[in-house]
Amino acid sequence: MHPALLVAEILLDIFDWLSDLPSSESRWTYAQLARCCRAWRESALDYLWTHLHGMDSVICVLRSHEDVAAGNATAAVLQYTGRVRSLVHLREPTVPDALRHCSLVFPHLESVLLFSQGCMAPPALATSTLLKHITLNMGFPSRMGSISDLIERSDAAARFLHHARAQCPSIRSLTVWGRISPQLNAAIASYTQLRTISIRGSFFKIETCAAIATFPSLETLDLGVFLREPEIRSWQVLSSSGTASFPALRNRTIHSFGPTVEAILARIPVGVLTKLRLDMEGCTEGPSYMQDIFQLLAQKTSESLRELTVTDRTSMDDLPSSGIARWYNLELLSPLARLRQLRCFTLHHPDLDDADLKELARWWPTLEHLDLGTYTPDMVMPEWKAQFTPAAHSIAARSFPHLLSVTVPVPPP
Amino acid sequence: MGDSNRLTLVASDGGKFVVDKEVVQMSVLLKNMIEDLGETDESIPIPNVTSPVLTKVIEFCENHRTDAARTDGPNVDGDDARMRTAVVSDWDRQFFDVDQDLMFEIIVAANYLDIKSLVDVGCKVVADMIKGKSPQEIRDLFDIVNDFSPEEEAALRKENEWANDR
Repeated sequence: MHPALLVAEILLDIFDWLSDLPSSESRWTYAQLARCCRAWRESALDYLWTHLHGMDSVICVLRSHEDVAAGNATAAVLQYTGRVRSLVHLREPTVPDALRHCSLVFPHLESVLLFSQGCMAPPALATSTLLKHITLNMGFPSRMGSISDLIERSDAAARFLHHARAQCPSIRSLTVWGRISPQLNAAIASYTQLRTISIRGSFFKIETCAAIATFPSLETLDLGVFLREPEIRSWQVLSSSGTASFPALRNRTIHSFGPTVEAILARIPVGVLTKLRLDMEGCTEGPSYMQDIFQLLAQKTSESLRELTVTDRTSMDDLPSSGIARWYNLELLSPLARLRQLRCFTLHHPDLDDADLKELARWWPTLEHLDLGTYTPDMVMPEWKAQFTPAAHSIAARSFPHLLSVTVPVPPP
Repeated sequence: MGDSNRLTLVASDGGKFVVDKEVVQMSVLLKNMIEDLGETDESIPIPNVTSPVLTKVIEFCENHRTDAARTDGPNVDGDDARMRTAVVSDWDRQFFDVDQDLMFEIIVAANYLDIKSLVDVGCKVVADMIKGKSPQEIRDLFDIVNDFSPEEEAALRKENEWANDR
Protein backbone atom coordinates (compact mmCIF):
# COMPACT_ATOMS: atom_id res chain seq x y z
CA MET A 1 0.00 0.00 0.00
CA HIS A 2 1.28 3.46 -0.85
CA PRO A 3 1.98 5.50 2.34
CA ALA A 4 -0.36 8.23 1.02
CA LEU A 5 -3.24 5.91 1.92
CA LEU A 6 -2.17 6.05 5.55
CA VAL A 7 -2.05 9.86 5.78
CA ALA A 8 -5.17 10.78 7.73
CA GLU A 9 -5.92 14.03 5.84
CA ILE A 10 -5.66 12.30 2.46
CA LEU A 11 -7.61 9.23 3.50
CA LEU A 12 -10.42 11.36 4.93
CA ASP A 13 -10.52 13.46 1.75
CA ILE A 14 -10.88 10.30 -0.34
CA PHE A 15 -13.60 8.96 1.97
CA ASP A 16 -15.30 12.35 1.96
CA TRP A 17 -15.75 12.25 -1.81
CA LEU A 18 -17.58 8.96 -1.44
CA SER A 19 -20.24 10.68 0.65
CA ASP A 20 -21.37 12.39 -2.57
CA LEU A 21 -22.72 9.08 -3.85
CA PRO A 22 -26.44 8.28 -3.46
CA SER A 23 -26.88 7.41 0.22
CA SER A 24 -27.41 3.65 -0.18
CA GLU A 25 -24.38 3.41 -2.49
CA SER A 26 -22.33 5.51 -0.10
CA ARG A 27 -23.23 3.30 2.88
CA TRP A 28 -22.37 0.15 0.93
CA THR A 29 -19.00 1.59 -0.10
CA TYR A 30 -18.04 2.57 3.47
CA ALA A 31 -19.00 -0.92 4.65
CA GLN A 32 -16.59 -2.38 2.03
CA LEU A 33 -13.80 0.04 2.99
CA ALA A 34 -14.16 -0.85 6.68
CA ARG A 35 -13.34 -4.47 5.79
CA CYS A 36 -10.25 -3.71 3.67
CA CYS A 37 -7.69 -3.38 6.48
CA ARG A 38 -7.37 -2.31 10.10
CA ALA A 39 -5.89 1.06 9.16
CA TRP A 40 -9.07 2.04 7.32
CA ARG A 41 -11.64 0.41 9.59
CA GLU A 42 -12.23 3.19 12.12
CA SER A 43 -12.44 6.04 9.60
CA ALA A 44 -14.73 4.06 7.30
CA LEU A 45 -17.02 3.09 10.18
CA ASP A 46 -17.11 6.74 11.32
CA TYR A 47 -18.39 7.72 7.87
CA LEU A 48 -20.79 4.79 7.73
CA TRP A 49 -22.38 5.56 11.08
CA THR A 50 -22.19 9.34 11.22
CA HIS A 51 -25.70 9.85 9.74
CA LEU A 52 -28.37 7.32 10.68
CA HIS A 53 -31.98 6.86 9.68
CA GLY A 54 -33.91 5.07 12.41
CA MET A 55 -32.85 2.12 14.51
CA ASP A 56 -32.42 -0.62 11.86
CA SER A 57 -28.63 -0.46 12.04
CA VAL A 58 -28.65 -0.73 15.84
CA ILE A 59 -31.03 -3.71 15.68
CA CYS A 60 -28.72 -5.30 13.10
CA VAL A 61 -25.73 -5.09 15.45
CA LEU A 62 -27.78 -6.50 18.32
CA ARG A 63 -28.96 -9.43 16.15
CA SER A 64 -25.41 -10.21 15.14
CA HIS A 65 -24.63 -10.64 18.86
CA GLU A 66 -27.67 -12.72 19.80
CA ASP A 67 -25.51 -15.63 20.87
CA VAL A 68 -23.29 -13.64 23.25
CA ALA A 69 -23.89 -12.27 26.73
CA ALA A 70 -26.17 -9.22 26.88
CA GLY A 71 -23.42 -7.02 28.26
CA ASN A 72 -21.16 -7.82 25.31
CA ALA A 73 -23.93 -7.06 22.83
CA THR A 74 -24.56 -3.72 24.50
CA ALA A 75 -20.87 -2.85 24.40
CA ALA A 76 -20.72 -3.76 20.71
CA VAL A 77 -23.69 -1.53 19.94
CA LEU A 78 -22.30 1.40 21.89
CA GLN A 79 -19.03 1.17 19.93
CA TYR A 80 -21.07 1.99 16.86
CA THR A 81 -23.66 4.40 18.25
CA GLY A 82 -20.86 6.55 19.67
CA ARG A 83 -20.01 7.44 16.06
CA VAL A 84 -23.45 8.83 15.25
CA ARG A 85 -23.54 12.62 14.80
CA SER A 86 -26.92 13.09 13.15
CA LEU A 87 -30.04 11.00 13.37
CA VAL A 88 -33.45 10.92 11.72
CA HIS A 89 -36.48 9.19 13.24
CA LEU A 90 -39.37 8.83 10.80
CA ARG A 91 -41.21 6.26 12.93
CA GLU A 92 -41.71 6.00 16.66
CA PRO A 93 -38.63 4.09 17.82
CA THR A 94 -38.54 1.85 20.84
CA VAL A 95 -35.53 1.30 23.05
CA PRO A 96 -34.19 -2.28 22.56
CA ASP A 97 -34.05 -4.36 25.76
CA ALA A 98 -30.26 -4.53 25.66
CA LEU A 99 -30.10 -0.73 25.83
CA ARG A 100 -32.78 -0.06 28.44
CA HIS A 101 -30.23 0.89 31.08
CA CYS A 102 -28.52 3.42 28.75
CA SER A 103 -29.61 6.97 29.43
CA LEU A 104 -28.03 8.08 26.12
CA VAL A 105 -27.73 5.60 23.26
CA PHE A 106 -26.09 8.14 20.93
CA PRO A 107 -23.71 10.04 23.25
CA HIS A 108 -22.13 12.20 20.52
CA LEU A 109 -25.32 13.13 18.70
CA GLU A 110 -25.18 16.71 17.42
CA SER A 111 -28.27 16.92 15.23
CA VAL A 112 -31.63 15.17 15.35
CA LEU A 113 -34.64 15.28 13.03
CA LEU A 114 -37.91 13.91 14.37
CA PHE A 115 -40.46 13.55 11.58
CA SER A 116 -44.09 12.55 11.85
CA GLN A 117 -44.34 9.57 14.25
CA GLY A 118 -40.65 10.08 14.97
CA CYS A 119 -41.70 13.00 17.18
CA MET A 120 -42.65 10.35 19.74
CA ALA A 121 -39.01 9.23 20.09
CA PRO A 122 -37.91 8.61 23.66
CA PRO A 123 -35.20 11.07 24.78
CA ALA A 124 -32.65 8.24 25.22
CA LEU A 125 -32.75 7.69 21.45
CA ALA A 126 -32.66 11.33 20.36
CA THR A 127 -30.58 13.42 22.74
CA SER A 128 -27.01 13.82 23.93
CA THR A 129 -25.11 16.38 25.93
CA LEU A 130 -23.56 17.54 22.62
CA LEU A 131 -26.87 18.04 20.81
CA LYS A 132 -26.85 21.38 18.94
CA HIS A 133 -29.62 21.19 16.31
CA ILE A 134 -33.18 19.92 16.69
CA THR A 135 -35.64 19.67 13.82
CA LEU A 136 -39.25 18.74 14.54
CA ASN A 137 -41.77 18.12 11.75
CA MET A 138 -45.18 17.16 13.04
CA GLY A 139 -46.86 17.57 9.66
CA PHE A 140 -50.00 19.37 8.56
CA PRO A 141 -53.61 18.11 8.53
CA SER A 142 -54.68 15.85 5.66
CA ARG A 143 -51.17 15.28 4.42
CA MET A 144 -49.75 13.51 7.42
CA GLY A 145 -52.62 12.44 9.60
CA SER A 146 -55.68 13.60 11.47
CA ILE A 147 -55.69 16.73 13.62
CA SER A 148 -55.67 14.64 16.79
CA ASP A 149 -52.62 12.75 15.49
CA LEU A 150 -50.86 16.02 14.80
CA ILE A 151 -51.68 17.45 18.22
CA GLU A 152 -50.49 14.24 19.86
CA ARG A 153 -47.17 14.49 17.96
CA SER A 154 -46.91 18.16 18.74
CA ASP A 155 -47.40 17.52 22.45
CA ALA A 156 -44.83 14.71 22.31
CA ALA A 157 -42.42 17.12 20.61
CA ALA A 158 -43.04 19.60 23.43
CA ARG A 159 -42.18 16.97 26.03
CA PHE A 160 -39.07 16.12 24.06
CA LEU A 161 -38.04 19.78 23.98
CA HIS A 162 -38.54 20.15 27.73
CA HIS A 163 -36.40 17.07 28.35
CA ALA A 164 -33.73 18.20 25.88
CA ARG A 165 -33.54 21.66 27.41
CA ALA A 166 -32.65 20.10 30.75
CA GLN A 167 -30.24 17.50 29.37
CA CYS A 168 -28.59 19.16 26.37
CA PRO A 169 -26.79 22.40 27.27
CA SER A 170 -25.38 22.92 23.73
CA ILE A 171 -28.64 23.35 21.79
CA ARG A 172 -28.31 26.42 19.57
CA SER A 173 -30.64 25.75 16.66
CA LEU A 174 -34.30 24.72 16.47
CA THR A 175 -36.47 24.10 13.41
CA VAL A 176 -40.20 23.45 13.80
CA TRP A 177 -42.58 22.56 10.97
CA GLY A 178 -46.26 21.72 11.14
CA ARG A 179 -49.07 21.99 13.64
CA ILE A 180 -47.88 23.71 16.82
CA SER A 181 -49.92 22.78 19.89
CA PRO A 182 -50.17 25.11 22.92
CA GLN A 183 -47.69 22.89 24.78
CA LEU A 184 -45.22 23.11 21.92
CA ASN A 185 -45.67 26.89 21.72
CA ALA A 186 -44.74 27.09 25.40
CA ALA A 187 -41.74 24.79 24.92
CA ILE A 188 -40.42 26.89 22.03
CA ALA A 189 -40.82 30.07 24.07
CA SER A 190 -38.60 28.57 26.79
CA TYR A 191 -35.58 28.05 24.45
CA THR A 192 -33.99 31.38 25.27
CA GLN A 193 -30.46 30.14 24.48
CA LEU A 194 -31.11 29.72 20.73
CA ARG A 195 -28.98 31.39 18.08
CA THR A 196 -31.02 30.11 15.14
CA ILE A 197 -34.71 29.39 14.95
CA SER A 198 -36.84 28.39 11.99
CA ILE A 199 -40.60 28.02 12.28
CA ARG A 200 -43.01 27.09 9.49
CA GLY A 201 -46.20 26.20 11.17
CA SER A 202 -49.82 26.72 11.97
CA PHE A 203 -51.27 27.77 15.34
CA PHE A 204 -48.10 29.68 16.17
CA LYS A 205 -49.03 31.97 19.06
CA ILE A 206 -48.21 35.64 19.34
CA GLU A 207 -46.94 35.00 22.89
CA THR A 208 -44.32 32.66 21.40
CA CYS A 209 -43.36 35.28 18.84
CA ALA A 210 -43.01 37.89 21.59
CA ALA A 211 -40.87 35.50 23.64
CA ILE A 212 -38.60 34.73 20.65
CA ALA A 213 -38.13 38.46 20.11
CA THR A 214 -36.45 38.65 23.52
CA PHE A 215 -33.98 35.77 23.01
CA PRO A 216 -30.69 37.55 23.75
CA SER A 217 -28.43 35.53 21.39
CA LEU A 218 -30.78 34.96 18.46
CA GLU A 219 -28.84 35.76 15.29
CA THR A 220 -30.84 33.98 12.59
CA LEU A 221 -34.62 33.86 12.33
CA ASP A 222 -36.59 32.10 9.62
CA LEU A 223 -40.25 32.68 10.22
CA GLY A 224 -43.01 31.31 7.97
CA VAL A 225 -46.09 32.16 10.00
CA PHE A 226 -49.21 34.27 9.55
CA LEU A 227 -50.33 36.50 12.35
CA ARG A 228 -53.81 38.04 12.34
CA GLU A 229 -54.37 41.74 12.99
CA PRO A 230 -55.70 41.23 16.57
CA GLU A 231 -52.64 39.11 17.37
CA ILE A 232 -50.31 41.77 16.00
CA ARG A 233 -52.03 44.38 18.16
CA SER A 234 -51.71 42.17 21.22
CA TRP A 235 -47.97 41.84 20.56
CA GLN A 236 -47.78 45.59 21.17
CA VAL A 237 -49.16 44.99 24.65
CA LEU A 238 -46.93 42.00 25.30
CA SER A 239 -43.75 43.86 24.34
CA SER A 240 -44.50 47.07 26.21
CA SER A 241 -42.28 46.06 29.12
CA GLY A 242 -39.33 47.87 27.56
CA THR A 243 -37.31 44.73 26.75
CA ALA A 244 -35.38 45.15 23.50
CA SER A 245 -36.68 43.01 20.61
CA PHE A 246 -34.32 40.85 18.54
CA PRO A 247 -31.20 42.45 20.10
CA ALA A 248 -28.68 40.23 18.29
CA LEU A 249 -30.44 39.42 15.02
CA ARG A 250 -28.18 39.39 11.94
CA ASN A 251 -29.91 37.14 9.39
CA ARG A 252 -33.59 36.84 8.82
CA THR A 253 -35.95 35.08 6.47
CA ILE A 254 -39.62 35.94 6.69
CA HIS A 255 -42.22 34.04 4.70
CA SER A 256 -45.56 35.66 5.28
CA PHE A 257 -48.08 38.31 4.33
CA GLY A 258 -47.44 42.06 4.56
CA PRO A 259 -48.87 42.83 8.02
CA THR A 260 -46.86 40.07 9.71
CA VAL A 261 -43.65 41.17 8.02
CA GLU A 262 -44.30 44.77 8.97
CA ALA A 263 -45.00 43.86 12.58
CA ILE A 264 -41.75 41.94 12.87
CA LEU A 265 -39.61 44.53 11.08
CA ALA A 266 -41.05 47.26 13.28
CA ARG A 267 -39.46 45.52 16.26
CA ILE A 268 -35.93 44.97 15.06
CA PRO A 269 -33.29 47.29 16.48
CA VAL A 270 -31.62 49.90 14.27
CA GLY A 271 -28.32 49.03 12.61
CA VAL A 272 -28.07 45.30 13.40
CA LEU A 273 -29.66 43.28 10.58
CA THR A 274 -27.19 42.42 7.79
CA LYS A 275 -29.08 39.87 5.71
CA LEU A 276 -32.80 39.67 4.95
CA ARG A 277 -34.89 37.43 2.76
CA LEU A 278 -38.52 38.44 2.38
CA ASP A 279 -40.66 35.66 0.93
CA MET A 280 -44.02 37.31 0.33
CA GLU A 281 -47.23 35.37 -0.26
CA GLY A 282 -49.13 36.28 -3.41
CA CYS A 283 -51.27 39.42 -3.41
CA THR A 284 -53.55 39.94 -6.39
CA GLU A 285 -53.71 43.66 -5.75
CA GLY A 286 -50.02 44.09 -6.38
CA PRO A 287 -47.22 44.95 -4.02
CA SER A 288 -48.19 48.53 -3.04
CA TYR A 289 -48.13 47.49 0.61
CA MET A 290 -44.41 46.85 0.26
CA GLN A 291 -43.74 50.59 0.27
CA ASP A 292 -44.30 50.72 4.05
CA ILE A 293 -42.14 47.64 4.53
CA PHE A 294 -39.33 49.15 2.45
CA GLN A 295 -39.57 52.38 4.41
CA LEU A 296 -39.30 50.47 7.68
CA LEU A 297 -36.36 48.58 6.30
CA ALA A 298 -34.61 51.80 5.34
CA GLN A 299 -35.20 53.25 8.81
CA LYS A 300 -33.87 50.19 10.60
CA THR A 301 -31.08 48.92 8.41
CA SER A 302 -29.75 51.77 6.27
CA GLU A 303 -26.24 51.36 7.70
CA SER A 304 -26.20 47.59 8.22
CA LEU A 305 -28.07 45.63 5.52
CA ARG A 306 -25.74 43.97 3.01
CA GLU A 307 -27.97 41.32 1.42
CA LEU A 308 -31.62 41.73 0.48
CA THR A 309 -33.72 39.17 -1.34
CA VAL A 310 -37.38 39.83 -2.10
CA THR A 311 -39.48 36.98 -3.47
CA ASP A 312 -43.08 37.79 -4.34
CA ARG A 313 -45.22 34.74 -5.03
CA THR A 314 -47.88 36.69 -6.88
CA SER A 315 -48.32 35.28 -10.35
CA MET A 316 -48.48 37.84 -13.14
CA ASP A 317 -51.44 35.82 -14.47
CA ASP A 318 -53.37 36.56 -11.25
CA LEU A 319 -53.05 40.32 -11.60
CA PRO A 320 -56.02 42.16 -13.12
CA SER A 321 -55.34 43.31 -16.68
CA SER A 322 -55.92 46.93 -15.71
CA GLY A 323 -56.09 49.00 -12.59
CA ILE A 324 -52.81 47.85 -11.08
CA ALA A 325 -51.27 50.85 -9.40
CA ARG A 326 -47.76 49.50 -9.79
CA TRP A 327 -45.53 46.48 -9.67
CA TYR A 328 -41.98 46.68 -8.27
CA ASN A 329 -41.06 49.89 -10.05
CA LEU A 330 -38.49 52.51 -9.16
CA GLU A 331 -40.95 54.55 -7.14
CA LEU A 332 -42.01 51.56 -5.03
CA LEU A 333 -38.39 50.59 -4.45
CA SER A 334 -37.26 54.16 -3.74
CA PRO A 335 -37.07 53.84 0.09
CA LEU A 336 -34.33 51.23 -0.48
CA ALA A 337 -32.11 54.01 -1.84
CA ARG A 338 -31.04 54.54 1.77
CA LEU A 339 -29.46 51.08 2.01
CA ARG A 340 -26.00 52.43 1.29
CA GLN A 341 -24.17 49.27 2.43
CA LEU A 342 -26.07 46.89 0.17
CA ARG A 343 -23.84 44.33 -1.59
CA CYS A 344 -26.42 41.83 -2.90
CA PHE A 345 -29.90 42.58 -4.20
CA THR A 346 -32.29 39.97 -5.57
CA LEU A 347 -35.77 40.72 -6.90
CA HIS A 348 -36.99 38.76 -9.89
CA HIS A 349 -38.84 40.47 -12.73
CA PRO A 350 -39.21 43.99 -11.33
CA ASP A 351 -41.00 46.67 -13.30
CA LEU A 352 -37.73 48.33 -14.34
CA ASP A 353 -35.95 49.16 -17.57
CA ASP A 354 -32.39 49.88 -18.68
CA ALA A 355 -32.39 53.50 -17.51
CA ASP A 356 -33.49 52.44 -14.01
CA LEU A 357 -30.26 50.47 -13.60
CA LYS A 358 -28.31 53.74 -13.51
CA GLU A 359 -30.54 54.98 -10.72
CA LEU A 360 -30.06 51.76 -8.75
CA ALA A 361 -26.30 52.27 -9.13
CA ARG A 362 -26.61 55.72 -7.59
CA TRP A 363 -28.51 54.22 -4.66
CA TRP A 364 -26.13 51.34 -4.04
CA PRO A 365 -22.58 52.39 -4.94
CA THR A 366 -20.94 49.27 -3.48
CA LEU A 367 -23.33 46.66 -4.93
CA GLU A 368 -21.52 43.47 -6.00
CA HIS A 369 -24.33 41.12 -7.01
CA LEU A 370 -27.53 42.13 -8.78
CA ASP A 371 -30.09 39.43 -9.60
CA LEU A 372 -33.26 40.61 -11.31
CA GLY A 373 -34.17 37.18 -12.66
CA THR A 374 -33.87 35.59 -16.09
CA TYR A 375 -36.16 35.79 -19.09
CA THR A 376 -38.49 32.83 -19.50
CA PRO A 377 -40.42 32.64 -22.81
CA ASP A 378 -43.46 30.97 -21.23
CA MET A 379 -43.96 33.77 -18.73
CA VAL A 380 -46.71 36.17 -19.81
CA MET A 381 -45.76 39.73 -18.96
CA PRO A 382 -48.53 42.34 -18.81
CA GLU A 383 -48.31 45.11 -21.35
CA TRP A 384 -47.80 47.83 -18.73
CA LYS A 385 -44.66 46.21 -17.36
CA ALA A 386 -41.28 47.67 -18.32
CA GLN A 387 -38.78 45.43 -20.14
CA PHE A 388 -35.02 45.36 -20.29
CA THR A 389 -33.12 45.34 -23.58
CA PRO A 390 -29.84 43.53 -24.44
CA ALA A 391 -28.03 46.78 -23.59
CA ALA A 392 -28.96 46.29 -19.92
CA HIS A 393 -25.91 44.15 -19.20
CA SER A 394 -23.41 46.70 -20.43
CA ILE A 395 -25.27 49.50 -18.66
CA ALA A 396 -25.11 47.53 -15.41
CA ALA A 397 -21.43 46.76 -15.93
CA ARG A 398 -20.62 50.44 -16.48
CA SER A 399 -22.88 51.82 -13.73
CA PHE A 400 -21.97 49.60 -10.76
CA PRO A 401 -18.23 49.98 -10.13
CA HIS A 402 -17.95 46.96 -7.80
CA LEU A 403 -20.26 44.58 -9.68
CA LEU A 404 -19.15 40.92 -9.71
CA SER A 405 -22.31 39.30 -11.06
CA VAL A 406 -25.48 40.48 -12.76
CA THR A 407 -28.63 38.72 -13.95
CA VAL A 408 -31.23 40.69 -15.89
CA PRO A 409 -34.38 39.32 -17.62
CA VAL A 410 -33.72 40.39 -21.18
CA PRO A 411 -36.15 39.18 -23.86
CA PRO A 412 -34.45 38.09 -27.09
CA PRO A 413 -34.24 40.90 -29.68
CA MET B 1 18.11 41.69 -10.07
CA GLY B 2 15.81 38.98 -11.48
CA ASP B 3 12.21 39.16 -12.68
CA SER B 4 10.21 40.07 -9.57
CA ASN B 5 7.17 38.20 -10.90
CA ARG B 6 8.98 34.88 -11.06
CA LEU B 7 10.90 32.77 -8.60
CA THR B 8 12.90 29.57 -8.52
CA LEU B 9 11.82 26.37 -6.77
CA VAL B 10 14.40 23.71 -6.04
CA ALA B 11 13.23 20.10 -5.85
CA SER B 12 14.70 17.54 -3.40
CA ASP B 13 16.98 16.14 -6.15
CA GLY B 14 18.33 19.62 -7.05
CA GLY B 15 16.12 20.24 -10.10
CA LYS B 16 15.37 23.95 -10.55
CA PHE B 17 12.07 25.38 -11.78
CA VAL B 18 11.48 29.04 -12.59
CA VAL B 19 7.81 29.73 -12.07
CA ASP B 20 5.40 32.72 -12.05
CA LYS B 21 4.64 33.89 -8.53
CA GLU B 22 0.94 33.85 -9.36
CA VAL B 23 1.21 30.13 -10.10
CA VAL B 24 3.31 29.36 -7.02
CA GLN B 25 0.80 31.15 -4.81
CA MET B 26 -1.78 28.42 -5.36
CA SER B 27 0.26 26.70 -2.66
CA VAL B 28 -0.74 28.17 0.71
CA LEU B 29 2.63 27.02 2.14
CA LEU B 30 4.63 28.86 -0.56
CA LYS B 31 2.33 31.89 -0.53
CA ASN B 32 2.98 32.37 3.19
CA MET B 33 6.69 31.79 2.65
CA ILE B 34 6.84 34.44 -0.10
CA GLU B 35 5.00 36.93 2.10
CA ASP B 36 7.44 36.28 4.93
CA LEU B 37 10.51 36.61 2.67
CA GLY B 38 9.33 39.76 0.86
CA GLU B 39 11.18 40.75 -2.35
CA THR B 40 14.05 38.29 -2.76
CA ASP B 41 16.08 36.60 -5.47
CA GLU B 42 16.69 33.54 -3.33
CA SER B 43 15.35 30.23 -4.59
CA ILE B 44 12.94 28.25 -2.44
CA PRO B 45 13.85 24.65 -1.61
CA ILE B 46 11.06 22.06 -1.68
CA PRO B 47 12.82 19.28 0.22
CA ASN B 48 10.03 16.68 0.16
CA VAL B 49 9.23 16.79 -3.54
CA THR B 50 11.22 15.26 -6.39
CA SER B 51 11.64 16.87 -9.83
CA PRO B 52 9.16 14.59 -11.67
CA VAL B 53 6.50 15.24 -9.05
CA LEU B 54 7.21 18.99 -8.91
CA THR B 55 6.95 19.12 -12.70
CA LYS B 56 3.44 17.70 -12.49
CA VAL B 57 2.44 19.96 -9.59
CA ILE B 58 3.57 23.05 -11.54
CA GLU B 59 1.75 21.80 -14.63
CA PHE B 60 -1.47 21.55 -12.61
CA CYS B 61 -1.06 24.99 -11.04
CA GLU B 62 -0.33 26.63 -14.39
CA ASN B 63 -3.45 25.07 -15.86
CA HIS B 64 -5.63 26.12 -12.92
CA ARG B 65 -4.08 29.53 -12.20
CA THR B 66 -7.33 31.41 -12.96
CA ASP B 67 -9.64 29.09 -11.01
CA ALA B 68 -9.65 31.21 -7.86
CA ALA B 69 -11.13 34.17 -9.72
CA ARG B 70 -13.73 31.95 -11.41
CA THR B 71 -14.98 30.48 -8.13
CA ASP B 72 -15.84 33.82 -6.49
CA GLY B 73 -19.50 33.40 -5.60
CA PRO B 74 -22.22 35.81 -4.63
CA ASN B 75 -21.53 35.29 -0.94
CA VAL B 76 -20.68 38.44 0.91
CA ASP B 77 -20.24 36.66 4.22
CA GLY B 78 -16.87 35.30 3.21
CA ASP B 79 -17.95 31.72 3.76
CA ASP B 80 -15.74 28.88 2.56
CA ALA B 81 -16.02 29.08 -1.21
CA ARG B 82 -14.37 25.73 -1.84
CA MET B 83 -15.76 24.29 -5.02
CA ARG B 84 -16.54 20.58 -4.95
CA THR B 85 -17.49 19.74 -8.48
CA ALA B 86 -19.05 16.31 -8.81
CA VAL B 87 -17.19 15.48 -12.01
CA VAL B 88 -13.44 15.49 -12.61
CA SER B 89 -12.73 17.46 -15.80
CA ASP B 90 -11.21 15.74 -18.81
CA TRP B 91 -8.00 17.72 -18.35
CA ASP B 92 -7.71 16.70 -14.69
CA ARG B 93 -8.45 13.05 -15.48
CA GLN B 94 -5.81 13.11 -18.19
CA PHE B 95 -3.42 14.80 -15.76
CA PHE B 96 -3.79 11.91 -13.31
CA ASP B 97 -3.48 9.26 -16.03
CA VAL B 98 -0.09 8.24 -14.64
CA ASP B 99 1.21 5.23 -12.77
CA GLN B 100 -0.24 4.75 -9.29
CA ASP B 101 2.98 5.63 -7.45
CA LEU B 102 3.27 8.98 -9.22
CA MET B 103 -0.44 9.66 -8.65
CA PHE B 104 -0.04 9.20 -4.89
CA GLU B 105 3.25 11.17 -4.84
CA ILE B 106 1.45 14.11 -6.48
CA ILE B 107 -1.32 13.93 -3.85
CA VAL B 108 1.23 13.77 -1.01
CA ALA B 109 3.15 16.75 -2.49
CA ALA B 110 -0.07 18.73 -2.91
CA ASN B 111 -0.97 17.97 0.68
CA TYR B 112 2.47 19.11 1.87
CA LEU B 113 2.39 22.28 -0.28
CA ASP B 114 -1.21 22.89 0.78
CA ILE B 115 -2.72 23.08 -2.72
CA LYS B 116 -6.28 22.21 -1.82
CA SER B 117 -7.63 21.99 -5.36
CA LEU B 118 -4.96 19.48 -6.38
CA VAL B 119 -5.50 17.37 -3.26
CA ASP B 120 -9.22 17.39 -3.95
CA VAL B 121 -8.91 16.35 -7.58
CA GLY B 122 -6.41 13.61 -6.71
CA CYS B 123 -8.56 12.26 -3.90
CA LYS B 124 -11.63 12.38 -6.14
CA VAL B 125 -9.79 10.32 -8.76
CA VAL B 126 -8.89 7.75 -6.08
CA ALA B 127 -12.47 7.77 -4.76
CA ASP B 128 -13.73 7.09 -8.30
CA MET B 129 -11.36 4.10 -8.49
CA ILE B 130 -12.86 2.69 -5.27
CA LYS B 131 -16.55 2.96 -6.23
CA GLY B 132 -18.41 -0.30 -6.68
CA LYS B 133 -15.52 -2.52 -5.58
CA SER B 134 -15.53 -5.25 -2.93
CA PRO B 135 -12.92 -5.26 -0.13
CA GLN B 136 -10.80 -7.80 -2.02
CA GLU B 137 -10.97 -5.80 -5.26
CA ILE B 138 -9.88 -2.65 -3.38
CA ARG B 139 -7.04 -4.53 -1.72
CA ASP B 140 -5.89 -5.86 -5.10
CA LEU B 141 -6.11 -2.40 -6.65
CA PHE B 142 -3.97 -0.67 -4.01
CA ASP B 143 -1.83 -3.62 -2.89
CA ILE B 144 -3.32 -3.64 0.60
CA VAL B 145 -2.60 -6.54 2.96
CA ASN B 146 -5.67 -8.01 4.62
CA ASP B 147 -4.69 -7.92 8.30
CA PHE B 148 -8.09 -9.06 9.62
CA SER B 149 -8.64 -12.58 10.81
CA PRO B 150 -11.50 -14.34 8.97
CA GLU B 151 -13.57 -14.12 12.18
CA GLU B 152 -12.99 -10.38 12.52
CA GLU B 153 -13.94 -9.71 8.93
CA ALA B 154 -17.05 -11.88 9.25
CA ALA B 155 -18.11 -10.01 12.42
CA LEU B 156 -17.64 -6.66 10.70
CA ARG B 157 -19.69 -7.85 7.75
CA LYS B 158 -22.49 -9.15 9.94
CA GLU B 159 -22.67 -6.09 12.19
CA ASN B 160 -22.89 -3.79 9.19
CA GLU B 161 -25.16 -5.96 7.06
CA TRP B 162 -27.79 -3.19 7.18
CA ALA B 163 -25.59 -1.17 4.86
CA ASN B 164 -25.69 -3.80 2.12
CA ASP B 165 -28.97 -2.69 0.48
CA ARG B 166 -27.95 -0.76 -2.63
